[in-house]
Amino acid sequence: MSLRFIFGFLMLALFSWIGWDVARRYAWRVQLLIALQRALTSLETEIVYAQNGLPDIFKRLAHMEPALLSSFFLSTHRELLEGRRNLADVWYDLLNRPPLILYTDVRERQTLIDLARSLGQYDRLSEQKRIQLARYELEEAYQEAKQNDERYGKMARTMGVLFGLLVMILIW
Amino acid sequence: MEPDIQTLFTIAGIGIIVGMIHSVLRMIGREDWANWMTLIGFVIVLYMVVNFIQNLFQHIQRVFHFF
Repeated sequence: MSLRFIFGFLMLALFSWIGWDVARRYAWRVQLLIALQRALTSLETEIVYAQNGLPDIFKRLAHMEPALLSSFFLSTHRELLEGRRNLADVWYDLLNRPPLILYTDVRERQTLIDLARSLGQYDRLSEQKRIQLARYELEEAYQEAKQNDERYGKMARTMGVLFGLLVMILIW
Repeated sequence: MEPDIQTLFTIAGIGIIVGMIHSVLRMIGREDWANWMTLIGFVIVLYMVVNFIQNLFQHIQRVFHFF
């Protein structure tokens, strides 16, 4: 009896945790997209008005952004200083491995890689337009992610607890 | 074989929880998942009561002298 009781509660805790984890991923995706948009705004300001070089800009962004994006920009800064690969290749690698691959969609990754291909290749006005276009695409992704978070985030939490209770009843 | 009270409570609990899952899934517009969940709940309960149903049929056969 007591063993089944403990096992039942462990199952309830496990399923609830899975539900909360799924919900947290939806919430983090929204946070990441907000941070990315903010970073692109800073990038635009730095390129157009401050006219700094890309490695310096990414170092500054690494200090401004939350941990997830900070490591992304810091790695970009280091890779650009080494000078072995171009920005698009660096971002392709960084975006297609954890943790960023867990929270970004294929479209957002492609948007950022396309932006990386154009950075440092054209005049400032063209770069500004490309950054604005990327930010617009990220804004669309953010709206969708926010909607999904509101809808599926709550569902994931509730379903986690309910499935836990169902399993608990079944093994009782 | 008499159905014990624990089985009845288990079935009631499954019914309540499957009903809640159904409502949540319908609320987010996933009617297909909701229907599948109800079906799974029904199958689980059917699996639990299949022995009782078999017992019931045997009683009916015996009462009406079908064999």
